[in-house]
Amino acid sequence: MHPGLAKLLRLRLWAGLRRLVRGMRKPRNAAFGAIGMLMMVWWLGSILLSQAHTPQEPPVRVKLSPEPVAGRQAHTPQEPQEPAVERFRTFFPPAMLALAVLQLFTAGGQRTVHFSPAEVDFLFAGPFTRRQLLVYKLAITMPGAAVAGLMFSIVFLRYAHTWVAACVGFWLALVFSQLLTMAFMLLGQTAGQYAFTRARKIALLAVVFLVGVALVLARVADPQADLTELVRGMRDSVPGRAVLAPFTVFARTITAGTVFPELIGWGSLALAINAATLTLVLWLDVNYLEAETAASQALYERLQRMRRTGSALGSVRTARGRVPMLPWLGGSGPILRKQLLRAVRSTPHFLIFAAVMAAAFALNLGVGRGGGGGGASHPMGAIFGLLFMLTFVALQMLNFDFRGDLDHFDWLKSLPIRPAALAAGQVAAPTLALTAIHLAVLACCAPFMPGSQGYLALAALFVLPCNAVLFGLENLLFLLFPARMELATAGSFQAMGRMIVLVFLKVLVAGVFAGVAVALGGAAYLVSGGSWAAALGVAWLTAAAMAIALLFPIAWAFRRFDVSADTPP
Amino acid sequence: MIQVHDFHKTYGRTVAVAGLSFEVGAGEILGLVGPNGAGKTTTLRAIGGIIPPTEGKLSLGGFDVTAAPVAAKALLAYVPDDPKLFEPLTVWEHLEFVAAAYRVADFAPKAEALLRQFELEDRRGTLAQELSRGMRQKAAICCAYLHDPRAILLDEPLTGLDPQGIRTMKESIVERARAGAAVIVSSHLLALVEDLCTHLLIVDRGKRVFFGRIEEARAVFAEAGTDASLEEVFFRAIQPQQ
Repeated sequence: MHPGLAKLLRLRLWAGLRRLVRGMRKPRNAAFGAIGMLMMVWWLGSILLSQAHTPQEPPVRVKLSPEPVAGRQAHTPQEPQEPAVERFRTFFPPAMLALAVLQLFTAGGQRTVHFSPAEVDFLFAGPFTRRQLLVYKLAITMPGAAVAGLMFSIVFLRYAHTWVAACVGFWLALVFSQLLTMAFMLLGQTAGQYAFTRARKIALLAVVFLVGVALVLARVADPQADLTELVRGMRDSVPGRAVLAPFTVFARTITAGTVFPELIGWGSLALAINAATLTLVLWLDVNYLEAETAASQALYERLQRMRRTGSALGSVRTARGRVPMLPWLGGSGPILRKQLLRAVRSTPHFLIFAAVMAAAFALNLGVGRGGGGGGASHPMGAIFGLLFMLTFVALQMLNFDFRGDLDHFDWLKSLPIRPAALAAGQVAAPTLALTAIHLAVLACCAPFMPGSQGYLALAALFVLPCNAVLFGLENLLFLLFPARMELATAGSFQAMGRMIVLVFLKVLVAGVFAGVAVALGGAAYLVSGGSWAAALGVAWLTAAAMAIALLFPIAWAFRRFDVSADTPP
Repeated sequence: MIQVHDFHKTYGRTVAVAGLSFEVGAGEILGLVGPNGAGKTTTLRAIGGIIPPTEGKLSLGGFDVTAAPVAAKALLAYVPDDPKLFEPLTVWEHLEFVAAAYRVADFAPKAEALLRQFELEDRRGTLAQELSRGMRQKAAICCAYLHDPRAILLDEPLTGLDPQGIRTMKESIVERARAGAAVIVSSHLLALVEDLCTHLLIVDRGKRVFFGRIEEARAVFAEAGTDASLEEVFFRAIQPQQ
């Protein structure tokens, strides 16, 4: 490697460690970091402890090619259950193939490997060859791949015979996955964009065809096969072997039972595959600089938008969608309109997600009613599960409030609007958006549940104050602990700790609020002599009052927010 | 030092630059001016070896940028408009990296002198992410100058600089040219170009409108008068195109 690039690698590794330590200097960050680290230790420790208490399976006999499965009679109920290692060997190669296909077809256009804007500015005009830059990029991903391999090896330890083999195998598999994508992309650039688009389609069709043929062969061989047997049959068929051959090597490395000959043998083969792919990548020597410059710029702008708006939904790509002028409402009206404009122009992805979820759920209900036996057994529980999941995702994605305005706080503070009114306008937009989605989901489900429409109506009644409380809490905690949306990096314990603490706080406060509303509703029920209307009315009014009351601490937090000190970099 | 011959750059059907030719000799400062989208940055990037030309030949110090990119780039410093630094690295670590990349032996005294010149001495340990826009620009320029490049490409070099920084920057450009570097300054600030540059290249829609000494530009666009400002010359020059 060029000494300059080696120097940069060392500097960046050192800078990563320094960032970790420097971030811990503030007591709050140190606390978040400690919590995050403790959670990580607890999570990994619990996995390791559970592994320690699981009886170890004996290593399987060494064989350098997968043994064909004779047929269904080999897996009769009288025989012991298939070992975890064998299950892993069955499922890992197809999973890796699927991941590779996914990476190939979701990689943006001609992008080969991501270079940051600083790398573009310093390295592309620097005295380096393209091959040297590729080697540098591969080298810089090695520590990340090693950390990821380590994590995977612990998580999947029960499927491996030895931790060392799992660790080495996962690392080699991750490197291969990266090299494979890079090789495909470079080949694509060699062929030119139009030809590459066609080539990708042909490659996809070929893979789908081979996998399809393999599945059909497996099904024909054993019409009663379950999913595991079907995948195993596919793996052992001729087309399956052809497609999965390289991936099988990595599965065998991960599950090697002995250091020699299994780990050494399969590991060397995996290493040779990686070396061959790397040789191909370097041999192609495609001029990727121009494509990467454009891709890097586009990615940088997208990340900047995400940082500014705090959400992947933040990019407004169209000026379509109108919101009528709203009344002044003490200043809340214009703020609400501004946020609603952003909402209608940037929520299609979330709406598609919500629609798919609702459609899948409605279909499930329909199948259940049709006597297919596959429908939901507890439809109300399932509906609330769906609403809960939508709410959980929406709380992060629909940030048309203070969270998405982090870079506009100086402007917001200069407005002649009282903070409480401003807070009301900010919180109202995501609340209304999510309420509309919730109501649409409930309305879609209603025709399938004639006996439960009362419950659905009740749920519809409460979604507005509940959403207002949830978004109010989100905004309050954000103003107290502001942070930008960042890409996750290995070892970012602070971000993890912060997230855990905030989720805990939200659940705690929301639980207290819900408890108060239920208690007051219950009291009203008793006082009114068993009137459900009174109970529900009081509970609703309590929830609404709490949502309104939350605006005042939000306004206070907004007032005390110091743009010069509290705005994260 | 910098030679551009019949440079074309197209993106699909879009023509960014069409048949541009010019030369910048050692000690010369070329002002590259033109309206937005004229092809200025594309030209600088092509000379810097970042994007390949669709057609034509670009060379630095006799080395073809496409055929011998490493040798050509070893002579070059390119400071883009809004330079991006490695956020987690300090200013000094950037200089360390550049010294290693361009194999600058005993770089420390030179780096310290540059930091002094651009008033960044007390920022040598500051992370790039903590620098203001102007300081990032200064740090990028220090990095660019560290290996004493023989060809310097500056895209809007004054953006974000304070008055003192602007003065230092201008002085440094003249200083580098006197020391034998060929400099291209791309800018919309015509007063800067008039102040600094010995030569002028006006481009519009990817085509050369004028290339020569600034005095010659005044002569060519005579109706502007021999004492006309560069701004007047520029508008006269691009008028027929618009």
